[in-house]
Amino acid sequence: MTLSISSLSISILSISSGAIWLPQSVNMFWLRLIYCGEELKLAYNTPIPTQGKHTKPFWQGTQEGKLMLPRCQDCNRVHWYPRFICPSCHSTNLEWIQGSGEGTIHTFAVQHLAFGAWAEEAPYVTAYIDLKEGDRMLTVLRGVDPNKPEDIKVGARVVVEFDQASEDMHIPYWRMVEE
Amino acid sequence: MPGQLYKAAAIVGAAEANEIGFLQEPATALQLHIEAIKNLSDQTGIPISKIEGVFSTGWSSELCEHLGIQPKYIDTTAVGGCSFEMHVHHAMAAIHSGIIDIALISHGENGFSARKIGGGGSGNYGRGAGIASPAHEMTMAYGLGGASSNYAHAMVRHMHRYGTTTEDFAHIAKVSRDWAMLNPRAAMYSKEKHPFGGPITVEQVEESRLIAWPLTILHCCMVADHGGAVFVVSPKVAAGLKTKPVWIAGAGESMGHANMLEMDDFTATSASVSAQAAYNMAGMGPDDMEMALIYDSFTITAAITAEMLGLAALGEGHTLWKDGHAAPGGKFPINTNGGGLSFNHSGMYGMPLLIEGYRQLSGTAEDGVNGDPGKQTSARTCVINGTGGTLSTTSTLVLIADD
Repeated sequence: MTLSISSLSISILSISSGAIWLPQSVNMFWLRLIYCGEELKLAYNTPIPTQGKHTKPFWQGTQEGKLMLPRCQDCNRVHWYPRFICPSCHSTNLEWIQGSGEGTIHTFAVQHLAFGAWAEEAPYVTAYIDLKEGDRMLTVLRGVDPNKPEDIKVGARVVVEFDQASEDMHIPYWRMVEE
Repeated sequence: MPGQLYKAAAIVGAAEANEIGFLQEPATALQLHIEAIKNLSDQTGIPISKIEGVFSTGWSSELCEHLGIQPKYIDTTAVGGCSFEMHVHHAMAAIHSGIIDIALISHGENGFSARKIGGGGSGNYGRGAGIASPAHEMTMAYGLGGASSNYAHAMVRHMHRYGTTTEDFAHIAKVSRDWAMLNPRAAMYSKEKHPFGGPITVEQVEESRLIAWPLTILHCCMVADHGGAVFVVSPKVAAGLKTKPVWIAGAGESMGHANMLEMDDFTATSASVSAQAAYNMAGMGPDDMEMALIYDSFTITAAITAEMLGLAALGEGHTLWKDGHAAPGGKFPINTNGGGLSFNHSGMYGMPLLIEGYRQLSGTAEDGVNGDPGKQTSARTCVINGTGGTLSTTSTLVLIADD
């Protein structure tokens, strides 16, 4: 999601006219960059999660291009989302491992009706990804044409990539790859 | 053999707010609650002052204060649209254990009016940790919004697994509309009542506006205004009323997940578990059911639930509608009020299921109109299933008519 000239000019216009209107979900990092006059690299407009206390290793990993996953040291199962307790065996003996960043599409949908900053992105494809290591992640799927859902196959191979969303947050997205 | 709670309590009345649907004069959720409760009291002859237990999705303390009553049993279970079926289950247990004899279950939700005036919306959905939950943290970035954005994923998986098509599911929307056209209180009763009301075809369902592929708007329930209330009472109280009892033969509840990220099998819900509990309590099975009322938030919800309730084989839930069995005049009527798709859906649809179940089995469903076959069926047994959240929580009831 790189910044387009048109959206930049709209932003500057709205600031210079004194009528700054931003949807609630637009992140303030972008706005601050404009004010500082720095080179504009980022235009991540959609909602950014707030890091939880026990999920820092995951977000630290995304900064380094790694998909870190929680694994139970007792039953060896990977689970997603991160828990305080293993949802399989209820051990609290958990660790973080580096995932392969590979998976397959479990199911998907094409979002035509969307809200907030995502409304401008519609139509887009959301998908649940079966991780190679086990369990499942939600994503907005890349490398697909939202107007040709018949070309998107359940079971197709996907790989992870990371978008810089703010100074300290990279968000994972999955991309369908050609076989 | 039936379980301990078999016929431990009966539904003895079912009423709605004075006006429901897409209200021209906006109403608050509280107003919808209170109108329904007043109408229910008038219908049954049970004074509001005699209510001993109050069950609602987070509203109970406000309702009691507004009504000026001090109940001795309070339940605010709020796990989505199936909460009201769970309230019936919980009320049965409270009645059976001797704590109360008269339970009020109430619903008020101004899903449509809230756009104009705010005023309560749906109450508490029981979201637990909310934005502080790790499930939220790991899903909020990815553009899912309303229920439709989630449920569409289940339909794609069902089509992948069973070879079903959008056209298969479109029959559910068409048949539900046929029922709504026999029900003057249905929001989509006629073109006069609503610009999008009146007859629809399978082709129109297929070609209507895309919301979340493969769901078009006619695969989705509406969001309107609804208030409703039922009384669940002990056999002793039921015996002295002017209204007919409808017996609760079985009840069960369960859940699969809260966030759809945790849905293990996108083509199955916990209704298989809650239904088994309800059938066990009733000492009956799916073959003993003569009609069904199924939460149809989306066509796919109804199809999957029919499979979970044992009314159709896995992957074949839609055939009940496609083959005409569920339609007016069919051998197994489903969603005789028009469903959430065409009758009314305010956000949580559990209460309209209870009301229609009571009306059908007490013989008080409205008669047919326009010379069409009557909406009142001859069914003496009915399975009801509510679904809450994103195919998350379920509750099943088996109702039987009075002897």
